[in-house]
Order: sequence, then structure tokens, then C-alpha cells
Amino acid sequence: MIENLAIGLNAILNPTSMFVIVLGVVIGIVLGTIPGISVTMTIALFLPVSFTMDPLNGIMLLVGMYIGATSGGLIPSILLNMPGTPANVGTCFDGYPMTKNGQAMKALGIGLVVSFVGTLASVIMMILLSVPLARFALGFGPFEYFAIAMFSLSLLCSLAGKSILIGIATGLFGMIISSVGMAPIDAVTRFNFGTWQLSGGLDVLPVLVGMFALAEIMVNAEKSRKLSKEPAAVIDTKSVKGFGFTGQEFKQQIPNLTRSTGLGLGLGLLPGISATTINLLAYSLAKSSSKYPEKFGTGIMDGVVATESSNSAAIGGAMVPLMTLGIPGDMATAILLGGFMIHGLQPGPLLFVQETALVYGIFVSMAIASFVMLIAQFYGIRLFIKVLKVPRYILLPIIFTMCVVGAFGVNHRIFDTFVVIFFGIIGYFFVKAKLPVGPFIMGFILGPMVETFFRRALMLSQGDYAPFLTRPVSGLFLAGTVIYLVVLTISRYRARAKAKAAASA
Amino acid sequence: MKKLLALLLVAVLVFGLVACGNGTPAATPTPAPATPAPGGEPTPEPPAPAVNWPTRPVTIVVPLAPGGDTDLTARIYARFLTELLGQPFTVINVEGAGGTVGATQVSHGNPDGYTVLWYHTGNLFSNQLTGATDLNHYDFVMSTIGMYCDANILVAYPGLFADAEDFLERARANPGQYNAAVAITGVSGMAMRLLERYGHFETNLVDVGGGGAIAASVMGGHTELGIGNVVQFASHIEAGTLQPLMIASTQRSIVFPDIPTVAELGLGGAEFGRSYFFAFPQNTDPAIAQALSDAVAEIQNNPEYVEIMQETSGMPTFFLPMAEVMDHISERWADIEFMKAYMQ
Repeated sequence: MIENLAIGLNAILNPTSMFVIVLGVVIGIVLGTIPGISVTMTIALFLPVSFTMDPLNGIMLLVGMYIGATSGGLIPSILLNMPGTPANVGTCFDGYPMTKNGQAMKALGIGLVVSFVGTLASVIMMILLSVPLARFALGFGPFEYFAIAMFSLSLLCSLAGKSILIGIATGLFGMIISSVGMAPIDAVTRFNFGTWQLSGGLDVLPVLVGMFALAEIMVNAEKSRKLSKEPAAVIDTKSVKGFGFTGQEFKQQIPNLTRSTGLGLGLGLLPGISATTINLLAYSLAKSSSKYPEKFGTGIMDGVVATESSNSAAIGGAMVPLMTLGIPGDMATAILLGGFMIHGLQPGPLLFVQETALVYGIFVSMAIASFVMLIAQFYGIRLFIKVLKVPRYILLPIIFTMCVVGAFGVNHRIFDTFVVIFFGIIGYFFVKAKLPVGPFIMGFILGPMVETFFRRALMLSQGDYAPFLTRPVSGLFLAGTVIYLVVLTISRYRARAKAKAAASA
Repeated sequence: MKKLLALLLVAVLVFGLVACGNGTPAATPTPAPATPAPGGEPTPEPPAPAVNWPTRPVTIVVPLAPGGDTDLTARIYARFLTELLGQPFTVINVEGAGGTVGATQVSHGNPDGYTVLWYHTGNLFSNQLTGATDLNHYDFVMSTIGMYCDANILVAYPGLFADAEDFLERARANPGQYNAAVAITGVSGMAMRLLERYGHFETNLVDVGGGGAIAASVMGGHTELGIGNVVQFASHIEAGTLQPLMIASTQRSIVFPDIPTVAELGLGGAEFGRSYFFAFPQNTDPAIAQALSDAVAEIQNNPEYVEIMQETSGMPTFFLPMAEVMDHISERWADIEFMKAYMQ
């Protein structure tokens, strides 16, 4: 192990490789901060560039971007309430309220540090345990995936806000929207209204960009008439030392940080569960297990810690099945696989033996990239935070352009730019009607997972429902779902009874 | 303050350029210049040109995800076409509905000769067989076939079966007992159904999705069997974590010559391959399609191309000129059309 790491380090200890790592991370951060450009797109944009480099440098460039973009997305989430990438959606929920409370520096600081911790921890786990972790991931079949998806779906209640019923209704609305296009398994087209454009379904990115970024722009545009002379946000960067939070505050976050990092790594290992899902789960789980769930959404560090550590930890997780089995876990790693194949390399057990320098070079470069990410953003946030001082009438049109161009870039279709605008209008109505966006997004992302794995599981068992309960992992998650819902109902009922008693007293 | 604004604006402009440089030809139709743009760089003469094409960048639309075999082979062609014809060939991905979204977009696209589709008959056929679309090869101006892949290998969890004969015997004796991992509406689903039909056995087909999911399902012990192409299984077969049973090809694999073909096992007819083709939008000048076909023909003689293509696809290189494309695809379709009854 040590010997292999030394070989890897030796392979990348040269100015070119170091430059490539820094370049990858910095480009990743910059593109990650643009709402409308996802992690996947960042890597896809530079895939052809990597073909012209030697294999190790080419892949390191892409991996550096993977790490940079996943973290960089936290910046607009916190400063503007616009997720930089789909993997940072949950960061908006508490990050933006923190900015509104004048704690932008603190939110960025903690987000950045937990991103670093999540990445580094998952990379270390990946280096030490990649083979057993991959075996663990292979043990998950359709029953287990279905149970995990169900459990995740139940967690949307924690994002519901005041009324659970409205939360569930918006969640269902998200699921309905997600069913547009070809059905999983049998490819029956649904809700395409006779146009082939809708047959492919709605991509996550244009929907998210519409619901968050465009809706936010419209809300601001509405205010602009009344508040044309709105004073620019006051942000004190001079008096903020280091990362903007105290050691004591960080200490309090350690249980949350550990859980969210573990969740990111564990779920990231499973092919088919991406950081988009994981950051939302980490947020809901942090809220559900918190002693003060009512403070979530008002601007507390816990929310940012949960989302930013989990999405970064998912990177190491997703790299494990890719490197050890050649199985990509999400779109980003699928593109990385292409980066390997164009050089005639097939990730898998043999690669570790045949290309030790390459494999361990990548591993070591990921650890280095996480440090580069930390340093680059530490200096970067002082620059990025100035965005808040740019007058909104200049900033928002620029962001609007980026969103629309980015949505076009996802799939090179003008159609997707209309999807952004359509969901921008829906998102605006959500804001106006005070409907929670969280459950909608969870429903939209998890709906297809639940359906797909339910049907796949029943194909495997030939219609028998028993394995859902008799397979241990699946049974455990389904039991967890029921317990969670029962506990939630009771506690809500009690809270309401208490409120009533208080009101009548 | 002003500096920052300027920076932001530059970022927008640069990004706009990047995105448009990739996509504009496909999205906003502009009439093709009848004559080469004045003052443009002199382009090297293409081999025996019937038309002066290309005089500006060409977009290759790949209707499937970046990083897959269709995408990678498109990028290989893009590189060699750029070198040969002196104009940049750029690959963009337009995903959705198993390739139908991107393919339909090109079929309806601007017939100026600067947007071309790289796709394969596997998904073109399967999307018709499932009834998801009526889009077929008559909806394009077909140019050339630049690759053929029929290296579908049936693999099993190691140790379950002694060999292919043993598997066939036991599968015939126990219909529906063994689970086979496939993408049910995809190429692997069709390939498995063909094996069942010609091998007179029956398995329980389980959809697990595409990509590496089939290998994962078999290695994880969730299904006994799986079917997919040689590239995605290669490292697992070498490592012994997947046991190859047979290859649904007319000839033995260049990578794994020990695996018997279906015909050797008495399953002749179950071979299933897919042809990768270049196709232009409807009403494109056939002379342009012929020019691309000629260019692709010339690339086949480039030893560097042959090496890269074989390494990426695990198959010998393959080429059919424009004159033979329609007949080739129509024949393949006739072989497979009966599957409609099983796929819907």
C-alpha cells in the first residue's frame, strides 16, 4: 500500500502534473459557481481536452474538476440562493438565510472547510478500503435500492414546513413532473403531449435552475421597483479571521459532520445514487435528528455542514466502483470512464496491477486536489463575496444569461431553455404561495428511483413481494421508513396539542 | 468594483462563445453559403469532391451520453475527419429517450450538410420494436457505416456452469429459473431474446439498466446471467469475476478467442450486431453525404485510426460506402422485425 502510494506520488511529482491539478480544481470551482453549469457538464466540456494529454494528466484534470466544481457550487447557493450545481441544492436552504443574516463569510467558511473534510475523508477511505467497499456496494440489488429510495422519500416530510399535507402534495407534484417522458423499464412514453421534445423527459438541471435561480431573479425583479435604492448588503470581510467560525462552533458540528460524511461516502458508493440526491438526504437527516429542527431554514451552520460534507464525500464513494470495477456510479464518473477508455485503459481489478502508477497517481492527486480546493477557495471567497456588492440590476441579468445558456449546454437543445423559463414561473408561484420547494425537488429526483427499482425488484422476484421484507438491508430501511413516519406523526400531534393548550390557557 | 464587473462580463462572453461554438449550427439554422466564404482559409482538396464541402465547422450529434462507446467512437472520427478535411468536426451530445431525441432533432434539422448524426442500429431498431418511435433509416440521408459491433458476450456468475453446453442443458431443463440481467428495451434485451429463441431455452429477463450495471448485477450475485459487449466485460473476464459462456457473433472475438460463437453451439441465427452510421437530415444534398462517405473510406487506410478504433471498440474496423448503407440496414431490420411481438 505505502509502496504503491509512493509510486503514485512519484508519478505526479512534476511541475506539469501539479499544474494540471491546480488548473482542474480552479476551473472546476469557477464553472461550479455558475448556476446552470453542473459538475457533469464541467467534466464533459473538458473531456476532449483530456484526450490530447497523457492518460494520467488527462484524468487528473477531470478528477480535479470533479472536486472543484462540487465544492464551488456552494458559493452561489449561499450568496444568491441559486445552487451552483444540482449537488448543492440543499446548501441554499440554510446558506442563503445565513447571508441574509449578515453571516455570508461564516457560511462560506464552514461550507468550504466541511467540503474539504468530506473530500479528504472519502479519498482516504477510498485509498485504504476500495476493494472491500466495492464488494459492499455490489451486494445492493433492486430490493435494497427501492428501500433506500422509499426511506429517502419519507424524509421529504422533514422539509415540508408548517403543513405536512402541503409538503406531501408538492412532493407528489414533483413525482408527477418526473414521470414526463419515457417510462423506466418498458419505455412507454408518458405526458409527452405528442411532441418528441418531451419524450426524453425533463433534465434535472433546467428544472432546478428554473425553480431556484430564475424564481429568485423574478422575486428580486419584483422588489426592484420598490427598493431601487436598496443599500448593498453590508459584509464585513476585514474583521473576519480565518474561516469565520470559532473552534467551539466547529466542535458542535462534529457529530453532524461525521454522519453526513459517512452518508455521502456510503451512498456515493452505490451506482445510481448521485450527489444531487445525497445532499438533500443529508440535510433532511440532519434536520430530523437535530435537537432544534425548527431552526433549520433560518440560517444555521448545521444545514450547510450536512449538504457540503455529504456531496463532497460522495466523490470518493463514486470513484470506488469506477476504479475497482469499471462501473460508473453517476454521470460524472461515466464521463471519467470515457476518459480512461479513449486512452485504451479499462478501469477494473487488473488496472491496479498493470497500471499501479496511474491508479495510485490518481488517488494521490485527489488528496492533493482537496488541499488545492481548500486553499484556492480560502482566497477565493473574499473575491466571490464581492458579488453581493454588485447592483442587482447588473448581476441578475448576467446570471439569467448564464442560466439559460447553461441549460442549453446540458443537452444542446433550445427546448431546455424553455424548460428553465417554465419552471422559473412555477418556482415564482411557489415563492408567492409560500409552498416548500424542498419536497418538490425530492419528489422529482426520487420518483423515478422508486418506480424503477420497484419494478426491477419485482422482475427479479417474479412478482413476489416477500424479499422486500426478508432481505435484511431492504427490511431495515422499510422498517425505518415506517418508524420515522409514526414518530413524526406523534410528535407533530403532540406539538399541535401543546400549542392548542397554550392558546387556550 | 469595475474590474469585477468587467471580469464577470468577460466570463459571460467567453462562456457564451464556448457554448455557442458547440451548439449553434444545430440550433439556429443559417443558410449554407453557395460558395466558400471569401477570405476563408484555403481548405485542402477532399478526395474526388462532387461538392465543395465542408467550408465551415461540422457538428456531429451523438444522441447518447458522453463517455459511452458511441460517443468515444464519434470523437475518434471527429479527430480524423478534422485532420483529413481541414474543417473542425465537433461532437455534441443530445441525449434523451434512448437516442430518439437527438436522432429526431437531426432528422428534422437544417439540411445544410453541417449537422450529422452518429448513431447505431441497435437503439434505432430497439426504439422501433418497443413502439417508442417510428423514426427509422428512411428519415435520414444515410451517408456511411463506420463501425460494426457484434461482440455480445453471455456471461455467468463464475462457477455456476461448467461451460456453455452445461448452461444450455440446464437452462432448457429449468425454464425461467435463471435470471438474466439486461437493459430490457435496449440492445442487450434484444440480444438475450434472440439467444433464447435460437437456443430453445427460457430465462427470467431482469432489467438492471445499461452501462456497467449488468456486470455489477452478475458479480453481485443478483442475477446468474448477463449479456453485454466485450469492452464492458473485458477486465472482469480477465480477472475471473465473470465467466464467459458464448459470444453472439459470426466470428470469435479478437480479444477473447477462446469463447465459442453461438453458431458453434448450434444457435446459428442468434448473432446480433449493431452498425454505427453517419446520417444527415432529410433533404440534405446526397453529394454531401457521398463526400463524407468518401472521407470515411479514406480514414480506414490510416493505421493510426485502425489502432485507436480497435483498442476502443474491441472489434476489427468496419466500413460500408453510401451505396450499400440502405440495403444493409434494411436487411438487418428484416432479420429482427419479428421481435416486435416480444418487445411491446
